[in-house]
Amino acid sequence: MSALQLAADGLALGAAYALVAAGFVLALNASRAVNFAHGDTVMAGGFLSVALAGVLPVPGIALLPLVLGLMALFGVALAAVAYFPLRGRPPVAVFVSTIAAGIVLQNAATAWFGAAPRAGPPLVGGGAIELGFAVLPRQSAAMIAAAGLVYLGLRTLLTRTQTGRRLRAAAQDPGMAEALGIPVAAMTAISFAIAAALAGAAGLLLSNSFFVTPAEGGNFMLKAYIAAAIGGWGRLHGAALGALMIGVFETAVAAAFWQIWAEALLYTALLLILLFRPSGLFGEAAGTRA
Amino acid sequence: MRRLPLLAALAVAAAPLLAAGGYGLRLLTSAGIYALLAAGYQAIFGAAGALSLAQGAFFGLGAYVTGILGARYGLDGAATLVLSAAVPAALAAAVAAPVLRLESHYFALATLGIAQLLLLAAVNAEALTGGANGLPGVPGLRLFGLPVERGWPLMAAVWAVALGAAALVGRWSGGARAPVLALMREDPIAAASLGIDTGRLRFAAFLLAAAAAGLAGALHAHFLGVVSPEAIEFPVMVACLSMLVVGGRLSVAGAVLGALLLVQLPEWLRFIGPWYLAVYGAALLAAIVFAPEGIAGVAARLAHAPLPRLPPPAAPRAMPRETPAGPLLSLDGVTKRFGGITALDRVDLDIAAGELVGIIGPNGSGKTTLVNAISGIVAPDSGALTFRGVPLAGRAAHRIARLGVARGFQTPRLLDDAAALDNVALGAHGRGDAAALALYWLDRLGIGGLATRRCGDLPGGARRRVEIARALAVDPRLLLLDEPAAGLTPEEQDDLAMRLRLLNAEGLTILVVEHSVPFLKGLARRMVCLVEGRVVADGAPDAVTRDPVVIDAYLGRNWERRP
Amino acid sequence: MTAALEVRDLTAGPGGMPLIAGVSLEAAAGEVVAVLGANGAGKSTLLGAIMGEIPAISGAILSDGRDLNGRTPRARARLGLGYCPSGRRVFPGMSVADNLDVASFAPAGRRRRLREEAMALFPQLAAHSRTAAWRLSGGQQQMLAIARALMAEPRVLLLDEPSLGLAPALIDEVLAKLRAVAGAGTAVLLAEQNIGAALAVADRAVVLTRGRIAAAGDAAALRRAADLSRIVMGL
Repeated sequence: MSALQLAADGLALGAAYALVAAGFVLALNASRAVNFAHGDTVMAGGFLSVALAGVLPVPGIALLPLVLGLMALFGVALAAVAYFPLRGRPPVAVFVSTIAAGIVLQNAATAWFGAAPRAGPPLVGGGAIELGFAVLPRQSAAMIAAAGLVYLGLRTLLTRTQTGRRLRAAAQDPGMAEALGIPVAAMTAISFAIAAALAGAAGLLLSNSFFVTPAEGGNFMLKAYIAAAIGGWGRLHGAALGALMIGVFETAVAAAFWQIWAEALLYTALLLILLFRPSGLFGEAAGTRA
Repeated sequence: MRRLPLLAALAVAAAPLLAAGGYGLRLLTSAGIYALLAAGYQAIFGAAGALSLAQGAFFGLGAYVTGILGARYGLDGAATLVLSAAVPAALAAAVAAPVLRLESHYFALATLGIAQLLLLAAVNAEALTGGANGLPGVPGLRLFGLPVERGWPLMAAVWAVALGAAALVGRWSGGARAPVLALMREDPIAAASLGIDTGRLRFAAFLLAAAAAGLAGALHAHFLGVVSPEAIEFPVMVACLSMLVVGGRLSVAGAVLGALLLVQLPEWLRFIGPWYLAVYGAALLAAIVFAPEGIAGVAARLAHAPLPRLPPPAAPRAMPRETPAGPLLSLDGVTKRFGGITALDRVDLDIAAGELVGIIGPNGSGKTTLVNAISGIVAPDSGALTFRGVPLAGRAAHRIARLGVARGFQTPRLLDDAAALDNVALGAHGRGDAAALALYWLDRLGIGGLATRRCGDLPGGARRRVEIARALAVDPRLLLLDEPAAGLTPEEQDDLAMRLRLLNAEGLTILVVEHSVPFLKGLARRMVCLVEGRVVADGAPDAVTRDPVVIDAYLGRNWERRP
Repeated sequence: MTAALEVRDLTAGPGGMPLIAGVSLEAAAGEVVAVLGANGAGKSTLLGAIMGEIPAISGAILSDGRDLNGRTPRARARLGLGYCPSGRRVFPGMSVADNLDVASFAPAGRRRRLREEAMALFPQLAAHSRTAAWRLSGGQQQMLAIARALMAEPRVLLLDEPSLGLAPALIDEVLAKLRAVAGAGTAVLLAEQNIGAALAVADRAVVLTRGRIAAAGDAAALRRAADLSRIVMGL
């Protein structure tokens, strides 16, 4: 496997992870709670893609808007059931409720689709793009492009729209935002919706190259968590970057040694970071002056 | 009588298993193993309030220790059981120091990371663990050469261990330690201010949990006859967590109840077919949303707690009030910066034993930071803090409390669900006559009659007094109060000032940070004014309140020169 | 004409604890009313109660004759109350321009105009339009907080100790802007510890001591009162 191919695969995986991590941090900042069902939401997006592909015989990339929309609705439903009833309770309650929601998702998926891995729709046609000096697999290129587009969309939403500004304000200082007339609860619900949409998109992107398994949620959850810790708890772009690094790292180590070494090194790196730099490799969100 | 609802629940939960013959016996044995696992978990998750996600992995680790020693080396149960408890406990001890200090979301993540590493090791170290297929041929349980047969003997042995462990955890977390743990869960800073070593408590809980998990894993391995990665995968953790949430995580009985119930769940839900695990998850979700205290919690509510008989109040042994050669408390060039703001700027202050000093100053002048620095909640950037000749710099808050420094907070930090007496007794935790002392201090603050009332129901003025009484129960040499007059009516303020004067006359050194200058004027014999972290005035109250620098600070600069 | 803000015999405080009692005052459109008093006297509680952040125990709060009782802070903001709580509380990770935009409910065109007006009132903000708010100095953050509150075109502007942590020259500059704000028709209620600076810009003032009104009247008259400092310190 050429170095370019390896790089492309690593970036593709990392790009998908970046969407997952971005969604995780968005919901985290809005609700100040860890959503343990986030990884299973990725899995749900994957299975949604599988189901849709059975009905709509189009390239996976064409399903992206539909997946984003449906998963956003799912995100609101998840928040309604596992987050909003527990506001005002200690954070451990939301840990448990989202763990429970994840169990429901995982087992519902097993009951409905069976425990065996399923293949999602290919994003674009197969084959590769000739680049003169090397060959770039089409799938990886499509994954990178699609993830990049979605991330760009997220950035535009957050920085250039009034809704995006309100989302950020509500996350940074909910009390002040309320006093300015911003409906913070609605903003939190929207954050969960976007988080689920991002997770679902990642699920779609990964579903063909990596298959979808009901039990895969925990893996994504852990990686998003690690990415958030690397990037500095609460920093959206830091987490996305951390996730990108995890994807590249995982692919490289798996190619050079075995998959398990990639995972073992990842968890060890996590523990070391928590021990020595709990504020992440890039530092925590917004510095405080005066 | 008080435990009747809980015992009834336990009986109801156990009944179907006892009645169901051979299959029920196996399930009951399994329930015992899980009861042991959950009882241990109750120590760290319920009592200490820390969400550890490594409990399932410790269970698996214990199973593998027994499996490997039993299947490969044929060791006897007595040794393997001990080792299966010891190895996870040792691992827990090794990782405890850095991990327990992390905030809750990082702690959960760290324990998850450890669990994942253990799982990877189990699946991949094939030579040792048998890899993904595991190790068959784990011998049945043998203790000192005698086999414990499957069926009734094994079930009885398992339950004996489970109930023994539950009793141990219950003893550790109950009695006098129960309110201490409750305060640690709800307000670790207030706990530290009373001299409670929260780090040590969490460490003990983590070790207890790991040992119990390892022991449960060992019994599991003997029971099944095989050990495989299933014992170390996440579903075990989820089952353990669910048992505690549904059964009730604030008591070890809840753990046992949860185990008895949830082990039968697959049977009850069997008719739903492959969806039963999804229903399981939904039930857990419903439990945490609608009944977060679990069944045991509900049972505890149903049982009427008897009115506690109040002991006669006992005054503390009069400590000889030593008169140290130097000042009792000494600050020397103490500086503290937060980002760009200098909260304390080279503060020099000496407080002699027996003084009653008022600290005043405008908002943001550093008064609360001063109290926080003395009590150890913040560490100064430079300068020296000495108390009774002992340097305070770098000491943890609970150690400073044990040296004889007690404090109140701007907003009283009490256990709302506990009675006033229990809250005050926390100050005297560890002492045999804590309740009697608590009542004495409540009387001294004029609220002895409220001793059995729930703190959450008390009005602001009373809550303030309860907190001061709790600080006094520590039997301090120095009492720090942060805005005690806030929210009190003028009459209450006068009464409080009178009581503080009395305490001071008996030899207690008191430092009061206050906004309300009138409150201090009648009380303090010396006032210190802080402005922007610096001491600008220090002397008799009359002089200080007429000092133009002080007036300037309160009213705005260049007051006299304004047109 | 109904006052922009009217407080009648208000008793309020968190958890049923009355930190202010029997407070009455009025602020008309175009006026600056100062609320003076030492710390703990109840200034923040009064403003917090008007905004709905702190529960009222008894009494009434009216805005343009409308009873605000039972309304959430968000509802009160939409009804025309602008709030600058103590400590500035600008959104640290957002730029100056974003901090302003987020507080407006007007359509994009009018919002842009409002932002330009805010920058005209505070030229220092215009110079840092794209800077993240956490990087601004204390004075700049205070100006941003005031400008942000103005973006919703409020009828009443509540300010809680804007002078906190500011250098004296800056205090005068910031408070002087409030006269311009009032001139545009807003009623300004200014809680301040810094009596001199506050009375320099106020039309009327009330003094709080231990949660009650100890003195009230014309700003010029109060400035001349000989024992004002004793009253304020509660002696």
